[in-house]
Amino acid sequence: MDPKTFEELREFIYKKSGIFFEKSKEYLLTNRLRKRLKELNLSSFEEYLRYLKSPKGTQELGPLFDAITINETYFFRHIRQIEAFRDVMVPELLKKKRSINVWSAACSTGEEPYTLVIALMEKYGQNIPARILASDISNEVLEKAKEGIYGEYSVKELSPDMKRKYFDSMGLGKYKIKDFVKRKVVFKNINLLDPALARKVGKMDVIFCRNVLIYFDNNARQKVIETFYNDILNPGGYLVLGATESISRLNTKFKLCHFKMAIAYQKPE
Amino acid sequence: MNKVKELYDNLANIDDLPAFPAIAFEIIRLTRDPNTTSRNLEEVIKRDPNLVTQILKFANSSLYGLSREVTSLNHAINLLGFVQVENIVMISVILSSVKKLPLHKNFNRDKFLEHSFGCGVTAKIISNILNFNFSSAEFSSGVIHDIGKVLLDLYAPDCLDEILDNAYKKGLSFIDSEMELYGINHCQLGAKLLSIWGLPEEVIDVVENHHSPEKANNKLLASVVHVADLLTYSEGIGFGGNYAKFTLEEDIGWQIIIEEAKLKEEFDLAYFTFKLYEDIENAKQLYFEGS
Repeated sequence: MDPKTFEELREFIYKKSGIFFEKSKEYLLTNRLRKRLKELNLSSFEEYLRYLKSPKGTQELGPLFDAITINETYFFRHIRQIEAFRDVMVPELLKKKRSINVWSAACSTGEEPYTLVIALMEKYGQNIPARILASDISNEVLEKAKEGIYGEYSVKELSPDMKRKYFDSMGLGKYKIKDFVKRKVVFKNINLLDPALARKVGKMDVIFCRNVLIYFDNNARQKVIETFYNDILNPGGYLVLGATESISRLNTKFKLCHFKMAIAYQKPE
Repeated sequence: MNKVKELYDNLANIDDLPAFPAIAFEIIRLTRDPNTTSRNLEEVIKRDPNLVTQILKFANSSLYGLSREVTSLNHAINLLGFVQVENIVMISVILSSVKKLPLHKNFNRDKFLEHSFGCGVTAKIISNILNFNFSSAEFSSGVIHDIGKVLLDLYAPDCLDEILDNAYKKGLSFIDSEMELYGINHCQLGAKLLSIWGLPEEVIDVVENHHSPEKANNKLLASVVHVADLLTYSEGIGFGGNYAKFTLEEDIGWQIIIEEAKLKEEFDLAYFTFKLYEDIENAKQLYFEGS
């Protein structure tokens, strides 16, 4: 793909989904879209872009988003966000209360909520000043999360020391999260579009909702964000989206904050 | 009178004040002389192999977006232009003179250089994204913006300790701490040194006002360096950590940028940030990990 087309395509993707597609992943996009081009009988990415922007293009958004979402999940993914959480958000929130509520809103197989627990344990010891709620819409992944058994890929960012500390090695490259970590997380099946969302979740100080909104249409996104803001987040609380995801195109009162190479949205005090 | 004030007042009379290398003066004189040809400039620059390497490195970096590999110095000079060559020379000699200084134990030279350099690169990236044209002045001022801290370290190390202690204890920024204790700050010190060196007014203006861009003559340029400084702390290069969190929209420098560049309409701060982070990552690999 020539640089100009790539730049236009990623601006288009960003406007439609809020996801900033990184140059470093261009090869992935190219590979995945090449298949679509063939199916649509298009001969170039320029043509594909024109198709996307045409009235018929709305039906192509689904396949396009499938191509850009890379559903990989592992412990300490996007470490800068985890550091901002551990080193800035949590200490700041703890100035006002002794314990905070944290919600991993699309926890999948559990890597994210367990990462949050481990990050806090590294700083505060086993008695962490936070309660962690983890939810997902799929019972299947929630069962896996509760089981807490992971392969090499999931723990690739962890040092041998950290692995020993927080996992039991089961041999054959399998690791089981230790009970003292698991006990800190409450798992629930929650649909983000449930009208009773706020009641099911309760009040939160930090919400992790990374790369989920892309699966909703604009109305649904707007609704979820409003519920987060109005009914779930405490004043001063934070919303953490995917590392290159934004809600700029939505109408919100959230304030954009910068941390070390990471951003998050805050509900003003 | 306190020691920092004394240092400021007597700066011009200090015998062993870091000198500005003669070759750099010669280059600046040449780049500003309308009769100079690129061959003339090449002859002078060639005498310092370090400079040659630096200029080629810049000519080939993504910051300047030249598509072909540049291997000859003359070619690089022509592609970059005299103004950019002047800036590159200026920062190279400053960086290398800091490298030669005997620094105090609390002063982490590598981190200082990383922050300085990171700030210059970030300033350049910001103006690239926003299509500003400062002919690289943002780059050189970014690199030397904290030169005043080097003076503190050289001639008032105990004061530097106190400033850092005080900042740490009270949760103050470096500049608030030095103002509270001594009433003179590193911006003023740095600006005075640069005027003793006879550097261009434009650069002195930015160094003097990088914490108060609203007071600068060139507000936009000072604001770009100011924001780059913020982002470079937040990026974790350099000592400080004053700005573990900040709201760019509320920052005076950012507001000036938005205002002066007429970016108000539909400017997407998140998108800008993602682009910036991407470019900073690339630049880091190019300059820090690669060298």
